[in-house]
Amino acid sequence: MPDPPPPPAAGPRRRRGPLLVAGTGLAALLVLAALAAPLLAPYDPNEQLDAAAGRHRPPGTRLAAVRLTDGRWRLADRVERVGGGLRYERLGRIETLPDAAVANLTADGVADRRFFLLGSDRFGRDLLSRVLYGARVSLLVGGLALALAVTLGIAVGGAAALGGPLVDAVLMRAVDAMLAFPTLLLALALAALTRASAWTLVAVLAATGWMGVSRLVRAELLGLERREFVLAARAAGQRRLAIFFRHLLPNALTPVTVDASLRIGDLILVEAALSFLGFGLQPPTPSWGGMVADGRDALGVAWWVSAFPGAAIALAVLAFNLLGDGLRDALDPRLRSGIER
Amino acid sequence: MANDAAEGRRDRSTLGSLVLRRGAAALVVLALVLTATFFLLHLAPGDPLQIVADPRISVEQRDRLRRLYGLDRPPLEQYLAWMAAAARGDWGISYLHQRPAARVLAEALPNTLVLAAAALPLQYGLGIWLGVAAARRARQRADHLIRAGSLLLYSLPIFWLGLMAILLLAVRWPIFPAGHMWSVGAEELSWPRRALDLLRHLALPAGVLALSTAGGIARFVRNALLETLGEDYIRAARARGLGEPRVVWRHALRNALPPLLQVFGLQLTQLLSGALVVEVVFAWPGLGRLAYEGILGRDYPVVLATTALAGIAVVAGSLAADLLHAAADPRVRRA
Repeated sequence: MPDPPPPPAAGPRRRRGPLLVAGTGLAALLVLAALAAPLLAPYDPNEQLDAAAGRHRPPGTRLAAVRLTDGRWRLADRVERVGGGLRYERLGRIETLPDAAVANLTADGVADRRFFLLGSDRFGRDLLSRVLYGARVSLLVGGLALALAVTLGIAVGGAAALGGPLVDAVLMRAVDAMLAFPTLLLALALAALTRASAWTLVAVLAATGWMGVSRLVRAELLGLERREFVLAARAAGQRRLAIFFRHLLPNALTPVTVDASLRIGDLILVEAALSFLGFGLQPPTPSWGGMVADGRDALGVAWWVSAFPGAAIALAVLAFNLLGDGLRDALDPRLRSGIER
Repeated sequence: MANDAAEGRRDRSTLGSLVLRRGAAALVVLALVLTATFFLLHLAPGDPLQIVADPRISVEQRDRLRRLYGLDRPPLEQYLAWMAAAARGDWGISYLHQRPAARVLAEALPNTLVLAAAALPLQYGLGIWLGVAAARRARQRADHLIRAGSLLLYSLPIFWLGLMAILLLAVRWPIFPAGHMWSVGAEELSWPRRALDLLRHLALPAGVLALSTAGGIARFVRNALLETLGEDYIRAARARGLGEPRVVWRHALRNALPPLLQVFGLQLTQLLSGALVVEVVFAWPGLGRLAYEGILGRDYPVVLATTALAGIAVVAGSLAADLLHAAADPRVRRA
């Protein structure tokens, strides 16, 4: 049968879409930022120099960090040297310390300062540093979960497509059953079941994300099995497993890759939602969802605590979705976007 | 004539057997969902009595409670007893609420339905409108903008969108209430004022839920519509001189909608996941919040019942969508 003419509305397909370029760029930047977090982050993400005076400082706050000789720190809005002592303003009060009590004195003040570009949270921790380190958690957990989900999906989908009608029926009913759970409810129940750690979180996410992959793999394999080159391989006497790895799987990889690139965004979102609901990595590990939850109670006084980590989640998910969307356009125009996941 | 009738009969019988086949498969799936939830919850570490019971009670009292709730029996026996009772409509007593779980659910269900009923038309209205607008200007700047915009909507974490809505529209500019379903003392208002009160409380959660799900629908509609816009009957309609809006809205969209109908079942799980978060963020007294609190408090009967209900809704939703799709499109029946 001849191919139908291409849809006129589709226009030229050769050009790489601007969405793909934007998505690839953003995603690469994010991965780089996550990898280089220790270099980029101005401070330790869990550093609490002076929780009382550093608490809920708005974005752009500059403070002087006074180190006392006993090792404690004082965050001060202003410092000045006065004869034989250091005068500083902290929590609205002016206090004076003798020179001997300060460990980081300089000619006109103190040697250390803190600049909270994105503000600080309720423990006086720097949000920018926490958001940067949070990228590592989100991307690493999301990426590992994706790898596990795709592996699981290929295994189940492959078994269903090649294992005969009974195996197929059993596996696909199980997939249907898993898909009938609202993802988040399933993830919550699983997360409640396990003790929170990065690995269980990865397993929980993968457990909620493999079903769509297995459906796609099964459908692709069933389609490929009828193609001539597979029939030829079978006629040539190749073993089933060899046919699977040499002929079927490589040909199914393009749609699986496109699908996977669209899936990682979803996994990051579920991880964030779990962390927001208190079932993610436990504090003080900075995770974006957990940081949004941290700011929830202080929304009226410190909007930045929730706003920036949430924006980071949105940016990361958007980047990967743009990338996946663009990849699909470029590689596999047959696949539909969207809801069927 | 006779041929037509025979054809019609065969069509109906294939539809009938489709209903049977899909119905049976749906029942199997449902049983699997319930079984999975039951064992999932009972494998979880932690004892419901730790959370429910006063820690100062004696060992004997604890044992008596355990017997009362049936927690002393082996899991398989608990499972069979629960399935049998659930089939009769008895879903056990909630540990946290100390009332029949069915009644706790029955109170929360209408609240979730109100939320969903407000969100669904918004979600589909916005999604279809955006999708059509993008498809009509395929691969032009407006299309790219709408695609990026709907992708952004799809990418926003719903809990964050909710918090930002509260921040801007309830805290900074107090236009809407920040949470809950009714104002304090709303029971005493006259019904038009009560309805207004409900609408004011509904605006933010329903809007947030609709916004975050509209992006996916817009993407789907755009792509489905692009596919139908390439069909011959569209070219024929254009050749007959029909105006472009009529071609798009009447001819193309109508043929692009059945697949949308089909994904509605899958959409439902996303809507329920979204509703769970939205209900937690906005303190909306619905099923999602109930399930969340049930999971936190190890309230087995309530979690099992809400999961069962969600499972039933999703399975029934996709069954209905499948059958509607088959009824609307005869080609599907033979597949």
